[in-house]
Amino acid sequence: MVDAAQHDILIVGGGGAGLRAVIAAAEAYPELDIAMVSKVYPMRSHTVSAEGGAAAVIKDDDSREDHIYDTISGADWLADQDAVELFVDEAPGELVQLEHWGCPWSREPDGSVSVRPFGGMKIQRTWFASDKTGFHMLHTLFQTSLKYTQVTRYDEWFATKLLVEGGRCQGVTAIELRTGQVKPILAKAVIMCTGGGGRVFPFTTNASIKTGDGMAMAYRAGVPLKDMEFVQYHPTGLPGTGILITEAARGEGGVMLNNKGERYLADYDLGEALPLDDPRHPQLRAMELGPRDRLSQAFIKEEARGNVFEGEQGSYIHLDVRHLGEAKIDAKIPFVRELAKNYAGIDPVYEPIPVRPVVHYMMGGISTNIDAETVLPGLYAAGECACVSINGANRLGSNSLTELLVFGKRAGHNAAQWAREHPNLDTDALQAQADEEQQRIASRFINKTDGTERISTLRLELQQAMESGAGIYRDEPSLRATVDTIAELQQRFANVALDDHSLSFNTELTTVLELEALLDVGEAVAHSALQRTESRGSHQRTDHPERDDEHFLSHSLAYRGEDGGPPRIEYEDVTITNWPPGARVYGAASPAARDGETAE
Amino acid sequence: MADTVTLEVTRYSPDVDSEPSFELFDVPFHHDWVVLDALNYLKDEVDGSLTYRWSCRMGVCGSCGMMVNGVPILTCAAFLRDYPRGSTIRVEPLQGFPIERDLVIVLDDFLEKLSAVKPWLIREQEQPLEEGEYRQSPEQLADFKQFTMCINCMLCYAACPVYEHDQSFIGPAALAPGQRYILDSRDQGKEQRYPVMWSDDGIWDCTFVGECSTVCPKNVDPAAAIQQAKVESTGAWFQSLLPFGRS
Amino acid sequence: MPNPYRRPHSNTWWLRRLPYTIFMLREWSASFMALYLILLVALVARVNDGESAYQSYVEFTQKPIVIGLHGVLLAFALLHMVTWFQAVPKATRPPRIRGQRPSGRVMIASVYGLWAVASAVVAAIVLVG
Repeated sequence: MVDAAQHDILIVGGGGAGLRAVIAAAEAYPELDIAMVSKVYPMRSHTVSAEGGAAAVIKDDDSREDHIYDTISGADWLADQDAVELFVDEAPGELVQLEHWGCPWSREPDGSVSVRPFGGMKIQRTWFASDKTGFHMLHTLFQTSLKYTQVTRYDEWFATKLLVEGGRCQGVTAIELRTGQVKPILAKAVIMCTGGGGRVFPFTTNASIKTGDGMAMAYRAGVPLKDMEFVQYHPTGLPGTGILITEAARGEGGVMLNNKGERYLADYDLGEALPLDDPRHPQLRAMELGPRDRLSQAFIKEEARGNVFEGEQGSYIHLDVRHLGEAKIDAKIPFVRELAKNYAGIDPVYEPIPVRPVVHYMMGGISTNIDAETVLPGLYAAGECACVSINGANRLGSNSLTELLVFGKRAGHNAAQWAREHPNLDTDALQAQADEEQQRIASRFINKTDGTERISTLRLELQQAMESGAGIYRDEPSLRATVDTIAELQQRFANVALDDHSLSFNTELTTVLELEALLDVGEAVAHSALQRTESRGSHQRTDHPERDDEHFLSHSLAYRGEDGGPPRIEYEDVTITNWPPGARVYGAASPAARDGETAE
Repeated sequence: MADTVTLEVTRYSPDVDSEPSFELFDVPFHHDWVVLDALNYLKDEVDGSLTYRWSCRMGVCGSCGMMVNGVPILTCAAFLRDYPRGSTIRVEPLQGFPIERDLVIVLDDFLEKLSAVKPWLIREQEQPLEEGEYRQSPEQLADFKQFTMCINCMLCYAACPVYEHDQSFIGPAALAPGQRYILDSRDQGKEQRYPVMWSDDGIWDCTFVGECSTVCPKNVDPAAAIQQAKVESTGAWFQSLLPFGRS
Repeated sequence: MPNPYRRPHSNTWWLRRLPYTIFMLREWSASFMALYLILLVALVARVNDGESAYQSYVEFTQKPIVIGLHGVLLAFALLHMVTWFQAVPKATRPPRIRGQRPSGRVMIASVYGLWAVASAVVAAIVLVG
């Protein structure tokens, strides 16, 4: 028998956070044996489709306190303030570092980096590389990572399970797609950077690969998933496909109109609609630059009032950027123009873009502390799959790309430190676990011929249950129905049948494993939503419409149930440092953001 | 009877087949469906063993490139309505690459070549982070911006007859990033890339067919990157002939 | 087991699609340009050899087959010119003029302009001078 591959640290997932962790570890400890496993080639990771930008304080009229306050209030006070402080402090350095690695940030005439306005931010601080910031960041990180020849990459290996022995995480099992072999990859420390799980919903900006694999792996290993009920709907996705139209379109001055041509956000406590030629437009922290949860909620209410357009692929409103003019559109948001022409059949220079809220981001994820550590020694997590939390109940646009860098780096350093201090691996026991996993996959999927359920049927029913019960507005009866449906689907999953029984590049196998992960993710989201009987940020309960700081100024922690039972939901207090909970105000009455001041 | 379209798709199972074959499938026609939607429909409802790569479905991840009616294209951007109604749409793996399975090709060659051109910023001296960003004017950015847009979809290799016949050619999607870093005002390492880029397997293997740029979904124009490199390389060679020119 | 399949390559790849066929014609056009150059050099040599040598060359060029040949050469010359002018923006990075580099269209128009001027000069010399 060939010895299992062994490394010092293993990063699971090759997106922005994973690549940043690799580079951080390789730079700090060049002698370390670093490995990265990814189910797709790293440049396919979903970071690539992020568009708008990455936030960090650089302007003279901006301050760390302003960025902190915007983030905390944007999070509806569910963010851990010590983590937000650290995040804001490290952000500028990280973005400069990326620039030093060649990232083609858009520039001012004097050669300095440009920033643009973004939702929920009082001052412009969103760095951007035209409107393909995620693409440029990912390719810069990937190409920079190629410098470090000591890194072993397992491209198109699908990680299926965390290997835990002696109370420590010591690696993963992964399917080498090319051969179909399930192999252990052992490591003294593991960093999970597998992204979110937006594909548990039917309409999402997310790519097909966003199936919460890492969240599920950690969940099954007993690690809690934090704040899973908080799912962000991006207000401007294309109807049908769900393709993202970046917030930058609004940052540059785009406006949202209902079927009467009105800027309806003015009816939802988001300020007043200034005339388009007013020099103060677009007004920061107001109207179209309010936080995403409020904008998505406003759409649902407009829909109930009959003020939205009805189309073949659902209802929508108009995002109008015509007044920006062709030159500005081509300079600042060219990708928006390309996407609208290709996928909505309109040219935004001449016609408004049809948009509606679509699932975009999970604020929740694998629970970590400020050092990217999970409760399982040796396991770290960073990026969308993790929840520190800096995003709380609602994330501000452009904080996520920066988050990948700050916490990816932190995870890389800390995991490397841990690996140096814990050099031993229980190879025999781990190999036995890996053999078991190989057996499980062979008997449950590859060799099973008597199944009755189709993957796509189960997946669609799961997605529909999530949309109907765990969407933008929730209540107890619909959440209970969703919870019950998921439990039923998990039973039916035991009978799933594959058409593809081969070992060579079996993507039906990876699809069924992704569905298995989605069921776990959906379960955590629905149960956490059911137990949180308040409304906060992106979690809105029509039966509990007020925010309840007395009982719920805390993170939910979903622990997987024993023997297929429901998960156990516990709570952990939010860390408050200098910003006691206050009212969340957008529009002209937006407060100043100095230490300790609240809005009343 | 609902509107349908017939797809003719390459099938190849490495464990069983000695060579690829075609299989015919009927898919429902939808006005807004792309070829990728048709493949997903087939995999979900008809034959789960149909194997292909995809992810973002919006033309930015580069996964879903295939030959459709003999032309390399991103299947997420190939609308069914743009093909002649009544005739079959032929879907094959990208030309020039070995076939792993069905519509999946082996990409290892490209990744090796990408590393070979050193596609990272090379500095003699790193500026400390506290001093902020390297200054770069919008004009300097415009000089190389186009060549940064490559999504590594490999359509250019599939369109290149040189690569089809000679896999030692480094190829457009590796040469364009090399040129991108050479042109980046912040880079100080172009001499380190010349030996690989200016070699016989590099720019000089290119005969300027130009189809790489025609099929590129992101307007990277790798042909331009290569021809401009040829001009630079030739100029440098002439300079080296001068008694006091650099070698 | 991995068993990647390498498709055989064909020698008629250039017939597969029109852009490839035009590429091959473009490449062959260089040979036809070379042939025309030989005819031109022959013409100059004949002129140098005196009046009767020049006249016999003129009779040669008036044969239908030679006129036909010149038709083919002209077609290839035009193809050569159009395809290579089209390629000028690819190989050239022009200097900035007032902050902007001239677009591809401008560059192509410029070379056609230069060609028009050069043709006018040659025509003046040959037809008038």
